[in-house]
Amino acid sequence: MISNRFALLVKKSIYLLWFLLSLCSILGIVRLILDTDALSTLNLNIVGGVVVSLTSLTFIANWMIEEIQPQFGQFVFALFLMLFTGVVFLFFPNQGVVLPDLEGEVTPILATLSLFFVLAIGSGWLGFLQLMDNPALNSQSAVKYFTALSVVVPLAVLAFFVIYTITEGSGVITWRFISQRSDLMRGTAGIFPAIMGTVWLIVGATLLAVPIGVGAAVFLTEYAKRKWIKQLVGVTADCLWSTPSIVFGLFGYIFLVPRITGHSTLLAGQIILASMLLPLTIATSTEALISVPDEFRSGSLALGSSNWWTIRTVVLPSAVPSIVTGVLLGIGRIAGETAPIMLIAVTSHTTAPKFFSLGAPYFHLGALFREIDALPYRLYSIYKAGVGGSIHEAWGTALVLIAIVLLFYGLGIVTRSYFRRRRGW
Amino acid sequence: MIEKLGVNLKYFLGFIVGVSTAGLFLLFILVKTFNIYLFLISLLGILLGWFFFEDQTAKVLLFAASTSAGAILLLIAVFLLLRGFPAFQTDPLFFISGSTWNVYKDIYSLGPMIWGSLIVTCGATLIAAPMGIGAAIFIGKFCPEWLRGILKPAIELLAGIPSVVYGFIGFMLLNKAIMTYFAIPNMGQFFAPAIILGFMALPTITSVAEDAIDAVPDHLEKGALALGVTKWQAIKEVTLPLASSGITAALILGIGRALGETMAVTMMLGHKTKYPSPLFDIFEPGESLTSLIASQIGEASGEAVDALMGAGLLLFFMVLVLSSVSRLIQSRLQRRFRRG
Repeated sequence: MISNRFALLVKKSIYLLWFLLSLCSILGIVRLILDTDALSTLNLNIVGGVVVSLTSLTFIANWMIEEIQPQFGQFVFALFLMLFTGVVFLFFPNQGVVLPDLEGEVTPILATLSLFFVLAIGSGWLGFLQLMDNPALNSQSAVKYFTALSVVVPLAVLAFFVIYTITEGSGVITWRFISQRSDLMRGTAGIFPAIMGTVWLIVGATLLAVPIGVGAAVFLTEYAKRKWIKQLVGVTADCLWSTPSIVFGLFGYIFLVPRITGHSTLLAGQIILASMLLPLTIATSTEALISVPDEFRSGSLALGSSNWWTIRTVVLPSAVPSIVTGVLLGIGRIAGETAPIMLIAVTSHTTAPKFFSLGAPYFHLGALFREIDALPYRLYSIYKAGVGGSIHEAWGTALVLIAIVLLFYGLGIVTRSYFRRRRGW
Repeated sequence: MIEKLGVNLKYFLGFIVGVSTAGLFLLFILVKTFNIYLFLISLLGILLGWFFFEDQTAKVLLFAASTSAGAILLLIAVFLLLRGFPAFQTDPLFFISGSTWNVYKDIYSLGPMIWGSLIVTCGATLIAAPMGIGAAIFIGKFCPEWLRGILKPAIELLAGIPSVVYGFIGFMLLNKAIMTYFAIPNMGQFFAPAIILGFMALPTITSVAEDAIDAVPDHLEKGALALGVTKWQAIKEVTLPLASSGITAALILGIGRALGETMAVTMMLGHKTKYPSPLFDIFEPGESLTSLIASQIGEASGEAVDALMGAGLLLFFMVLVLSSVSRLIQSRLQRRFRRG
């Protein structure tokens, strides 16, 4: 039973670690009370204390359930470590709080603290696992609340981000801000070119990616007989989907840009965004086509129509809602991509791409070969120029961007739930 | 006779279109020109084919479409290899593990950036893994059906917020808050982007892990319940072990996402291309592979571009390995349940 004993040892040393962490923060707070000058330690200790108390919560719960009594040897060990850390906190005052010079010299305590953070989060997670393992806790309600918490926290963060952006950005949003370009002479801000740039990027990427992606999905589900073909395409689509966006940018920079005009163009951006949208389109369309019942196909084939005719008139139309949903969600994803277009399509302070005109040629293909502005890039360039002056413009841009993304997501989700309810099979 | 002519015509047309399209792509890739005549020939050929032999043309076109993803991936790999390889050529060990990145002295090594990526990714995983799996368990097993319909898209939405917005909000709120609260003199530490990245990687982990939990056949858990265990025991002893490989795949995928995330990291890191000292100090400004590329490629020239391409190559293959391992695990999981 060596492994069992080893597990127990690990378990107990984790408890010890918590013990130490909580003691450290308590000592720190004690020092704070004794030493009124240490005002700037306050924040450090409070944050540390919060982390520690969160982790020790699980510790205490475990302890109370299992009634583990610390052994004498461990107690001595703990005392030793406690003394050591206590000495650091108590007798080297201001180690952690003296602001280092701006070259960024690091104080030992700050480094130790970061180690503690990693340990605390890691041991907290281990403790959580152990708590889940505890036979006394098998009533499911506790687990339910624990897991529910891990849904609530990210959603709360999301809600906070969105609401914060709305409160900061809504003041800037005027009709002028949305419908005109920045006027440097008058000093007014406007993001119309960026909005139009993003719109055209989305339009081009969708027009390129959807036919190809849906076509690939049709081939995979209706024509491909061998399994390895499906698997191969699935794997490549997966790999393409997880390829970092900056790699797409680099690829466009070394492949597309020299081949199109030599400088940034709208077309290059559209192609790169299309290749980012493609794997998602393939995946969702494949799923949509698979979910079309086989009776549809055999019914049509029994009437004497060809394979392709069946696909065109029966299979594709019944899969359209799911495909549309997937594409809408995908557009929501690519609308905010910055890294890929940064190198290949955008520049700041330009006009909106102009494809149509009332005058003679009516349609200008040349707009494809011009640089554009895009919302995510506008936000990034404001950040890069230093947010000082145009901070409100940045929040406004962020708000419009979030609104566009949310719009596509909302449309996608509504379509999905609508057709799911309506669909009979 | 006419039938035979039709068949011959079909193959002839197919040949013409095939050759002209291949020529079009080859010219575009190798000579960097877009040959309008070849394009018109293939377009005309496809239209003719569509008009006379719709079924076969459709099949060929669909096949061509299905190769697109692979072709793009191949192109990315080949061109990154071509451009990124020179950086590895002179001294690959120094390039990967050295400690200096100095544009002025033309000394390039990615050690600090790899370490920075590692720190940020580990931090993000520490946050995203427990919460992501917990959320997957809750959505998959505990929450009622109507709530599930709300929670799943809501978690998806978390992945939908553009990373540049995450970066901006993180920079404006988190970076400044941490700077003030911890009394740290610098803004772009590893700590803040790790937290934000955790929330960005979470939806990936949740959705894949939830799929894995969902894929476990219901009757196994019900069998356990019938033996008198509680629901949590059934989940813990039956569902989670069976879904464990899928959950692992989810984690790997999440790690890949965090590793490749660019804008948020670029906006929140301090762009100091040196190792933190001591190594585990997460409150020092730093740089990751992605942020290095994003922040320097615009102004780079000469050897620096090569080095950045090398960084991109490294990043691409790291993520490629991660995602293919994840995919492998997932497909094995699927096969297992189909058989069982």
